[in-house]
Amino acid sequence: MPGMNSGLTDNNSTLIAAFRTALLHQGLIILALLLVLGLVWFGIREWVPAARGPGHGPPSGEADGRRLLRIGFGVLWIFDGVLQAQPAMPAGLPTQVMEPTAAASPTWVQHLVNWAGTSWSFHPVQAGAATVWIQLGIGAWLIAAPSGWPSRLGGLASAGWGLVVWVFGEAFGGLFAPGLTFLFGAPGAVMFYCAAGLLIAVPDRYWRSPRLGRFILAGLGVFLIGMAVLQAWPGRGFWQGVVHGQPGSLTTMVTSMAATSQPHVLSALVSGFGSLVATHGFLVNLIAVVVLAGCGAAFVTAKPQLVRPAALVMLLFCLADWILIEDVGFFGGVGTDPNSMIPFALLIAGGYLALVRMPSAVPETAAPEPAASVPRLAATWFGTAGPRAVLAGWAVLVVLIGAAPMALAETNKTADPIIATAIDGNAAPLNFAAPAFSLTSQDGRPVSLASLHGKVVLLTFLDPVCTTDCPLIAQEFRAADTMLGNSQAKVEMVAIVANPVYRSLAYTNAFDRQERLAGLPNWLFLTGSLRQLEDAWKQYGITAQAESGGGMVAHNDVAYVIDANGRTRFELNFDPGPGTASSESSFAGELITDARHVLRSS
Amino acid sequence: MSRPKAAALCITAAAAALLAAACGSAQATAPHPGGAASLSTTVPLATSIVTAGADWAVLPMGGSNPSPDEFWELFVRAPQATNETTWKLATPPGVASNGGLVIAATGDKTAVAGFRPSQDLKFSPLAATPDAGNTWSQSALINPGLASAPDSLAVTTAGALIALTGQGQVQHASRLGASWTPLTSRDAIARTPAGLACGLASLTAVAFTAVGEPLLGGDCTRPGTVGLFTLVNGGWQAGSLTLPSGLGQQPVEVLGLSTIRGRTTAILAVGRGAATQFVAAWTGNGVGTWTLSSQLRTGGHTLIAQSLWPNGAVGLVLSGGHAATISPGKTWQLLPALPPQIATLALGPGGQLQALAATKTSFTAWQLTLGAAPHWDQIQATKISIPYGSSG
Repeated sequence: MPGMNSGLTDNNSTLIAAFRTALLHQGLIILALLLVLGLVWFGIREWVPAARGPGHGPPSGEADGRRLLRIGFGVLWIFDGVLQAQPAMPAGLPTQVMEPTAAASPTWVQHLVNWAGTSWSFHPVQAGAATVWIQLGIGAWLIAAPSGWPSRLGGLASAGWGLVVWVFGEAFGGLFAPGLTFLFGAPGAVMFYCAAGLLIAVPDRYWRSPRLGRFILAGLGVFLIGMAVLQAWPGRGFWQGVVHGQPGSLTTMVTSMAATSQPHVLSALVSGFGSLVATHGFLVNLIAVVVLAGCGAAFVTAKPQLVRPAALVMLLFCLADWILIEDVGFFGGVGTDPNSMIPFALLIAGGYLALVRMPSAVPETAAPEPAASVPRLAATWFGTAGPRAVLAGWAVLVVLIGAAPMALAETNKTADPIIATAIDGNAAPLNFAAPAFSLTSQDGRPVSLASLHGKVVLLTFLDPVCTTDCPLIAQEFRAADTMLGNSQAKVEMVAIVANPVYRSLAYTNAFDRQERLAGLPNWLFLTGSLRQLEDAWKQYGITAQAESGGGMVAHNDVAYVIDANGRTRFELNFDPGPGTASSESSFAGELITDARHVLRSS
Repeated sequence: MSRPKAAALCITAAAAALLAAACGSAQATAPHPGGAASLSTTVPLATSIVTAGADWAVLPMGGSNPSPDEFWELFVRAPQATNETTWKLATPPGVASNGGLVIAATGDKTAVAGFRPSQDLKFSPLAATPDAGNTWSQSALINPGLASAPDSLAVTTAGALIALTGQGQVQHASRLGASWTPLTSRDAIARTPAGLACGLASLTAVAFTAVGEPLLGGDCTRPGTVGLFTLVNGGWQAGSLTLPSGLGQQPVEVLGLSTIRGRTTAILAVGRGAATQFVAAWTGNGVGTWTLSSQLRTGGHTLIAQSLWPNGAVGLVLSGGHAATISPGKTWQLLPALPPQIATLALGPGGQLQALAATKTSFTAWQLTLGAAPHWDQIQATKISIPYGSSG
């Protein structure tokens, strides 16, 4: 999928440092907000007499099943948020999570995921940090708000964000890809988060009737029976541990999970199970099919005497699958959640509790006395809120503070300059007279540096028959020229040939056509005699060496920003990296930032 | 070719005769491989050519295909001038050769090499040498890039050039260094009566006839029709090559086309997949009567390299270590099992058959020793510095 890669390795130190800094700054703001909220709350309770009452804290009587889902999924979101803070996430999530997950899905799914991955790769630091805070915030929100509309809104937030993650991060949980199986996590762990969020969002009265429990269990039962059918379907590779000498589907999955970086004990356990599956694939699959179908059927009946043992068996099955097949899901540096078995087990337990343990009806709490003015009413309401409600409000702020920088970044079509900086370092500010050159433009006109006086010159060196870097650099210059907008007339984009052999006008013109630069009015691709070129290379510190054995001309990738008075103001390392959409945009943005700086100071 | 390489020609003929004796029991069918592999008639770029001034060989080295670590290399041997008997690396500098190399030579030491596009390079830079690869200079580029076929570039002794691009356009240049102008295209020829009769799918090779007129080879979808097209009085006409009735029900693709010293040689693939048979054809002037060879059944082996040499000699390398040669008036001769990693056949300074092997960084030349038990003897092993990572 093109575009998803920012071009940075997961362990790029610049990106990791920027990610940590962003998390630290946002974390400090969030802590400060908590402090302020706490002080205001204490202050109001101290100085507003009406606020000192029993308050409108959380009413008792929350259904056990709901509480389990709310707190369980709250903890899961917090855990997922912590996982998102792993250093590899900003660069690694699109390439190591999103792209592989969508690889087997249809093209339209890949395009959808590619769009999201590209958006992420344009602003990896903001996206990474936003995900951390949104998930931590939703988790805290669910835990802190036990009832009422704040709690139900928390459920909706959980379902909404879960849907985003399910579509873009899990490629619809692989629903449209071949090889769908419950054992590997179908239909995606976050789909269970969504279901739980919706259950938390339903009005409390539904939790006071066993109908909700029956509904939940019936839904889970039908789902499990469907998964059992899929698991038993012939020809899908699950019945054999080894097929024609090749590992079967389940064996492949288990052995690949065993290869993940993780504690030795766990990898040994998973490897051992992989061997068992390879030799007894039929038996393992038979057990899986029987358990799924049997428990599913029991859940559909919704009879407590059947549901209880089935739930127990299913919980054990989930635990075994989580450890032995899903390999607990979060090791390896870019694990985003503990996979599907834990949330599914929570849903089963929640459904069971909803069936067998309902709360008694809770009397309506009296509304606080109306105050004289709206501010006073608000202060009184806030002051009488319980500490958990304050925490819930703070959690909502965490979500918003996390999402805001990402939303702001998405309004900027230019990728974050951190990508270019992470690849090539910062531009070096300079201030000396740029070396003169006198060469020939692609249309045969003589061009010297002096003839460009009065314009800011963005200068680079390109090989017209280069197969990799130079076309990418040319595209970055082209993108930069577009970004210049009305300033185009004040800036000249100049490239000097960096090939001692292929340097005729025919080659510079062919390169211009190839890179769609031919129509740019402020684009110059300069060439000359070998002596003229060698002189320019020497002056600007360029080496252009033709290699033997069919290699490209080796030359350094560099760009200079020369001001209108002919003084070199910036030198940029300009190795374009992999030339992804985000890195190209980032380099172009960096070039324009420096050009504008020089334009302003000229 | 202005100056005949008399000794080489005689020895070539002698070699062919000797091969006939040495491998007389060989059947014109390569042994069938174990699996039911289907033949791909995609023409590989690996080849060798022989001229009066120098011998050239093109073969892939470095990494696997396709990858930025696969580099196509040009080797040269100029025995006439320097008594040189070993092959030397002569890949033109200044361009990455990952996409492939195509070579055409005028007959003396002058040659022109075209680089096929690779990665973000969309056109074909050309380099010319006047001294058998000692020095190279830029020549006029071809845009869009050359087709992936060893005979996508041809040159006359006078230096006129013709090229086939990857988009099916045919361009020509009056001399080395002159700019290219469009001559025709697959689409244009497909609309002519000759093209319609052939059901032209693609153009696959270009050459000049003995009188210097363009000659094009193509892939015909209409069974039994050979896609050869010559320019006569400004119009494209079908060549006069017809297949015998036994081959007339199968599609035919021209794999190679070359005119050397007044004789035009064509290599045809008749049929598809494992049933493909190779047939050589010769004519004196490219538009007159063609002589057809016997058929070489591939037995499912794929074509690794083809070489068209002076005097109408042809050498083919097939997968599985198989190789065969043929000359006009002879039948296909299967050669002893090739050494490993053979990329192409070539002719030695005395016309002996050679097999050139390329591994990652090793170039090895083997020579066929005739006798009661013909076998390959290693005559050269050279380490080549491959610029790994330079195109990645």
